[in-house]
Amino acid sequence: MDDIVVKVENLVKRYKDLIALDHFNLEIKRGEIFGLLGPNGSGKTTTINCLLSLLSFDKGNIELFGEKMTPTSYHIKRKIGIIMQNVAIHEELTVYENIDYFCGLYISDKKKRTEYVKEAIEFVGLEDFVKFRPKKLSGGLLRRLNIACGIAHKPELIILDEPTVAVDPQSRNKILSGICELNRQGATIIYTSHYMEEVEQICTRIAIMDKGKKIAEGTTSELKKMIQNTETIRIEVPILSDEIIASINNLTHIYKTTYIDGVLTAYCSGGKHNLIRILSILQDNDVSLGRIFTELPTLNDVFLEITGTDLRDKE
Amino acid sequence: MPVFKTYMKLLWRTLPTVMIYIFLFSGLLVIMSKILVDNDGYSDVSISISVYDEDNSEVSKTFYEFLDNKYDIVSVPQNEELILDGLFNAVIDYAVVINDGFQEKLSAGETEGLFKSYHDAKGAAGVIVDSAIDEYIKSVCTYQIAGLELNEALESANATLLEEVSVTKETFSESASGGLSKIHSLFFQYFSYIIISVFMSSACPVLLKMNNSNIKKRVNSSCISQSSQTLQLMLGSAVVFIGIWVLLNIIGVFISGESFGKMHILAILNSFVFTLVAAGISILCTAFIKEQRVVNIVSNILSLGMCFLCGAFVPQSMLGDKVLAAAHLLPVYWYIRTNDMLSGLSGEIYSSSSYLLYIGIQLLFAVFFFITFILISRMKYKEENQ
Repeated sequence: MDDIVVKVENLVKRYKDLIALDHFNLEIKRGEIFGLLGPNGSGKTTTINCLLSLLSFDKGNIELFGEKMTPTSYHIKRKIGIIMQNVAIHEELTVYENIDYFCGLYISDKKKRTEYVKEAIEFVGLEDFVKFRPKKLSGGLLRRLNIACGIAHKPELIILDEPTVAVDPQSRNKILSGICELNRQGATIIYTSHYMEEVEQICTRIAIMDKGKKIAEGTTSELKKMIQNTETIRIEVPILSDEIIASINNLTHIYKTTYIDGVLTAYCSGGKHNLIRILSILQDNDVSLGRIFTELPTLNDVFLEITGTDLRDKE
Repeated sequence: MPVFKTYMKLLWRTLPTVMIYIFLFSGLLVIMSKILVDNDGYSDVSISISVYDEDNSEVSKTFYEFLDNKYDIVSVPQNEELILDGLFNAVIDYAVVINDGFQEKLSAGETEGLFKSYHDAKGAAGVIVDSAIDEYIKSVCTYQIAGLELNEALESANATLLEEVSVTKETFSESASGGLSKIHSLFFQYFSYIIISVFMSSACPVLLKMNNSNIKKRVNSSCISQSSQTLQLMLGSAVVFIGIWVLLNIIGVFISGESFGKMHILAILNSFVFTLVAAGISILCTAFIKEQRVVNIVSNILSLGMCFLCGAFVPQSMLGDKVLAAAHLLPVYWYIRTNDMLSGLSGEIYSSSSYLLYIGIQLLFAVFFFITFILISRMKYKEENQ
């Protein structure tokens, strides 16, 4: 049981008629990078707010570090670092003062705090900006400052709520590698995002949320195994008869075929030589080809297959 | 105490605005104190008259001396047109011709036809000089009836009516022990405006920033308890409010250069109670307002509006009945009324019961503002957590 850092049982949260969390369950083990993936409004931030006791909930139970979480569980809150979706910093304070302030909410010893603040600044790479006010920082640097404010006190559990929104690719990579580094240093991470690539890249386990419910949970490969699709083949074919499409569709392991705007798309379920078989049919019928693409399933495909809608469509 | 320390750091950033208010206030007080010292509000004004003696007797000369001692004699040729021009151009305020036969008539006890006078019918000078001449003639007649010779009666009338009367101006406050001086009175009148403005431009922005929803959420997720946060914010606000109150009172004492009297101490206590009211107003504003820009607008409306309506800039005695009736509902009115009573400006004589009543009303306003703020904050907290 000591390995379980977060345990959520049957959590229900209603905003009047809207059910934000519908009997939501979750278990996160120590040392994991746990991804909460879902479209906007799926209940990710509500889950985080309930975990931190910032929101009351209608039903269910939340345990952190083996203890029931309440608004006054300050000894538990001491072990948690939170990086909010909206940057929460004081515009009038410098980078150093901001990190020192938020670290000071947990660490009262000034000497220790000074050391921690310096480490946090180095960790996020803001050494050259310590005396800068937030107004002078770019969006990426601002996000890094937000992260430094959340991790400076060396928490055991770090919650990052969409930390890469509106961040340039360079800063995004820096943030993602930083999160992995924090995990290597021993922190358990909860990472919420609607960017499936990020979640896929760094998370050891993922829960996919939609309409306040957990619709799937597992590692990336476990999630992908849940769906029928194992490979999607796209071939540019200017002219294609219905007979040829039907014969491709009849191939073993191909469960669906579409032909739209000169692109033949074949959805495969298992099998090792699907592309070769399709190409053989096309070659036998003397069909001229353009470019050929093959794609392995993504988390978006998982979401699409389970919910019937595209993850990105919901953003 | 990280919240308190950050409160102070943020407050430090608002210091330039606060200092501008305080410097302007101090400058205004220095100028006003200079004006008040140079002008004590009372001056002796002498009346200019022209006298034409057609009788040219001993008695008329004695009367001339009386007028010369009492008023400024100005020489204007004895020509009716020139005399009227002199009156019109304010060269003289009054002209009197002592008619021929003045001595004879006065010896016989007659008072009719002794003079001919010129003056502005609507002017005060005419009434004053007419009254003085009338009083002089009546005195001479009275002394004659009492048995004195005409010469003796004239001397006695001169001696009596030319006696200097020393004038001392008294106010209600000065008559009381330890009265409130004019400069102090002025200071405490403007204090109501400045304290609201300074609080709104110092504590309000800091509280708005500290209560920003993102920051608050972030702090609430830390291990600082809600009550500790509130206490630290209250402590920070108390330091601001008391600090500014002390600073302004030091400025007031420094500029006036006067020692403390009973009324002054009562006025300082009154200003402290009003400081609580102003603190309540500014804190309550943060419960409704989210943006600094709006705070500035509300600050001007509240401080200027209340101070004009309640008599901080214009004496309450000059305000209309309807305005005063409405002003009763505002705390500034009771603060100003207390000050006016202490300084004697309103004519209301100081009494400790009235003083305590007015202070009590202000305290009720302060309590009302604080309780309303607490209720709204609780409602908001519940809303945010549900």
